[in-house]
Amino acid sequence: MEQVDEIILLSLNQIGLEIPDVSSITEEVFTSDLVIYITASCMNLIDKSLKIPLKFSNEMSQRFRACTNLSKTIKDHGYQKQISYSFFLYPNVDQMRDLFLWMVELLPKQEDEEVMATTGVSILRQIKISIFEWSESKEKTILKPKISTVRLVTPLSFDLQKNSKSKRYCQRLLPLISSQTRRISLSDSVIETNDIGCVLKREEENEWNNEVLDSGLSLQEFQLRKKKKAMGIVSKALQSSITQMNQKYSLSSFFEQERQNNFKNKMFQGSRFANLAKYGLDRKDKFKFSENERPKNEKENIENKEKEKAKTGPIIEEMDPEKMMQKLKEKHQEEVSEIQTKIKDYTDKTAQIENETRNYLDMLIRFEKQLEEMNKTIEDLEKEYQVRKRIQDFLPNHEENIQILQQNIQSSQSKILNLAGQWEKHRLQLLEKYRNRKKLASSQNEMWKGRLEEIKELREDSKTLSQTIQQRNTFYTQLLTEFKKLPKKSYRTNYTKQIFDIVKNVKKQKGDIDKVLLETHDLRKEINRLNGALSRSHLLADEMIYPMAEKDDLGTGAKQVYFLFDKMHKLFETIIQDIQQRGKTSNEIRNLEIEVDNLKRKDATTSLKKISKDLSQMQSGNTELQNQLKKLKKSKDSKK
Amino acid sequence: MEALQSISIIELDLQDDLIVSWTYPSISEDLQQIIAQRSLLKEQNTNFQEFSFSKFQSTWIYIYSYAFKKESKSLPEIKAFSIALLAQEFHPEKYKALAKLLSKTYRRKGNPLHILEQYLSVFSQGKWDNFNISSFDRAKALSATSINEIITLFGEDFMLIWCALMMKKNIVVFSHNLDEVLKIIRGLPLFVWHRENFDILRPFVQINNIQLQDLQSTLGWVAGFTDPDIRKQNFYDVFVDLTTKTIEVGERAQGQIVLTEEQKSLGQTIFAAVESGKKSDQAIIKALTRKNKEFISKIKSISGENQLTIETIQKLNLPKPTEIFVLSLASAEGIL
Repeated sequence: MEQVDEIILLSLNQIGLEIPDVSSITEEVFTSDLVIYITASCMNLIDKSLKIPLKFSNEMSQRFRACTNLSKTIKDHGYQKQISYSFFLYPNVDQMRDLFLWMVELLPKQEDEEVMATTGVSILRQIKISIFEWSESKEKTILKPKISTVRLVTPLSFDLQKNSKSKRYCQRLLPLISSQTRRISLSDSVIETNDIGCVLKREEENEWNNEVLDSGLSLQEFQLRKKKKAMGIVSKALQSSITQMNQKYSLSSFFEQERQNNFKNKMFQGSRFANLAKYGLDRKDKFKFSENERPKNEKENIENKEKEKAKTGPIIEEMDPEKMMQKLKEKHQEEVSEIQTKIKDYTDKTAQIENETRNYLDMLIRFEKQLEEMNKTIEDLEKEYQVRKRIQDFLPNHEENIQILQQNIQSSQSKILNLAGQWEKHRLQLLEKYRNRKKLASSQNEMWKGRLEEIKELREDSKTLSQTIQQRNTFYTQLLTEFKKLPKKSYRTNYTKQIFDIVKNVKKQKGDIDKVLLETHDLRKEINRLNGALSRSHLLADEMIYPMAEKDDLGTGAKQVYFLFDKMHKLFETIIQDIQQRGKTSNEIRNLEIEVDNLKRKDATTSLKKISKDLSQMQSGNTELQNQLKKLKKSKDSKK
Repeated sequence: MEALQSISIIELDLQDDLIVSWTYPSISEDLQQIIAQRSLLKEQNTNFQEFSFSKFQSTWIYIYSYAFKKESKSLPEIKAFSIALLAQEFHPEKYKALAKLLSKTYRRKGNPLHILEQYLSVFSQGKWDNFNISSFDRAKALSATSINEIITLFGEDFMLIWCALMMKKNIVVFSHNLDEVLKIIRGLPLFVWHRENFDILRPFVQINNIQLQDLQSTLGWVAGFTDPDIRKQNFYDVFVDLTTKTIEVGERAQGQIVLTEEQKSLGQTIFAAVESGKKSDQAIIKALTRKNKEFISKIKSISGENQLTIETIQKLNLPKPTEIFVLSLASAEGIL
């Protein structure tokens, strides 16, 4: 039985239950609590919908109810053997074994692997989740520290194999990363640098997978193209910003802005004039127009006006301040409008000049064209002159000459045609070749496209495969470590050997049982035969003696013989019955002996003690409850 | 037929590959590229253009295309082909007839030798079979499009075209339909008949570097486009939109092409005459020419016998638009 116990304990261990390290199931170790714990966790695993608590209360009545429910659920799940609350309260070894065996068999098979995995993976996952949750909660409560990073330079940033200079640099001059940054930001910088490396690698991989393969270019060509594109984008952005700047600071907008500024200045200064007049300060200092940006005559104009004002200053001082303000304001308005109209004139003029220059430029180009055309016509005329001259030469003998010319034309025509015919042969061949090549190229192109698709698929496949391999590998290592942790004695081969032995034994016993069965069969046959012979001989004897006894009126003793015979027969029948009865009783005795043995094994006395103890506990509980009830009733009555 | 320069065959094969497969005599690579682009064979499925005439540099290009409806026995590899004739003169009808003749020969025989024979004959003797260059009148070619039709198309706005032409400004004629563009555009030089210059025409230009560069190397052109993207360009002065029948003055020429009262009233009278239907094309052209010449002689009379200069015109203190018009016209006519 110990082997069975070992198997059960091992399987229970494998599903992750905490069981004391023992080799067999005993009542001393497997207390009621432990049995409940094992049963509940197994049942929870078997039926995921169940949520049986792993520990019951120590309160007897509650415990009793929970145990009854548990036994009921077990029965509902198809447990054939007898089970009741008493088993969980007072467990015995045989029933434990039966129940545990049943549960272990019922544990879902494919779950085994999962369970195995969960022992490792799930713990890891749980740790991760709990760390994550912890960090989340921390993040909410604790203020985030400021992260400052520095881009670190490491030997990985260089292509050391190609460039010996950078190699030398790395070996001799490159400062350690700890001196490249402040101590506080070191870890952040390291993490960031590593992160950047990872991201770059991944991006490259992505790009290679998606864009480079699709484009059909080599990696270098693709990089070149990408670089060009990036440069294009940068230069475009620069250009657009430059044009924006130009627009912002162009001539007309400048004037516009200037005008507005002046206007504002004036308004502002206008309000100041009163004060200035009051305090008799020199106004020239306060009159700060943007002098450099203004046309000269305008500047002079202003200066003149200032002088005038300086002259009128003392007079204003004497006047009523409100009137003075009014006058000054009016004057300034006039000034402003004057300057505005001037500026407008200037802008108009510049626009006009711009227009005119454009027109002149157009004209210039046109003149150049005309010159060109004239030169051309001169050339044409010269040519024509030459032709005419030739014609003049030919004129005296024109008919003859025309004929000669026509002949020449004819001959050159036929020559050209001949040459063209020859060329045609080559041309056709070349054209055909070209078209064939083109066809080939297009078909090849399609082929390459197909290949590319294939390569892509293969890459995908390899990726997924490598992922699964990785998963399997980690799973394997987990299993390996778990396997190493497992107790060494429980080897599978050992078990199978033992199972084979048991099976052999069982076979042997079966053969013995068969033999015994045959023997009993033979015995029964013999008994039947003897019975038959007996009844036949009895009948024969009866037939022989009965007529004689009938005829025996003389008292020869035949009658007596018959009576004796009958008595003898009856006696024998009772003997047979007795023998049968004896067999039955001996059977009964044997059964009873077995039962006695069983009872002996159950150790009734200890359990009886336990039961009586629990009973007394329950009784005391009940009396307590009754007392409480009574008290409640009393309190109710008193309230009434 | 001295004006005839060259003949080319452009072929579109079953792989949708377009090549200039044969030329005589050889032409520059630029020209080869241009005729391939302008043959529009690549777009033949959506927009088949049978005949077009255009100009590149100083060469007139006439292209006649043919698309096979089913596989041809003589040219099994080819879906469509074009015959491109290059010449130094403007005469669409004549070159269309010749190109049609050559195209027929090529599609029957499938061999350029026969074409060459015909070409040489026409080149040296001016005729082949029924084709005879003497049957084509140049004057007819120049006035093939009715000027009245153009005037009725745009109403009194036609004076903007006239003004731009007189000032030798750049004009874009746009429509999605190339035939429409070609028809209208060849009528525009009639407004300045006194110059008798059809070389300002660029009847069909596509938007790409070579063609636009070629266009901008000259001044005072009248160019036809079918690509609506032309509106985004800024090198034209007047935009003639045939789809909406409107004439717009481009950004560049704002303030320059402005009709004076006199010009407007001239436009009204001409339009009224055309509307009444009593005046023939010839009469209208004549009237316009007379007016044009009047304008020119007026300008000439400004300086008397001396050479006309910009300063003398400026001294007249004319209103701004008139001054610009006078200056531009004077420079366009070479008086300045």
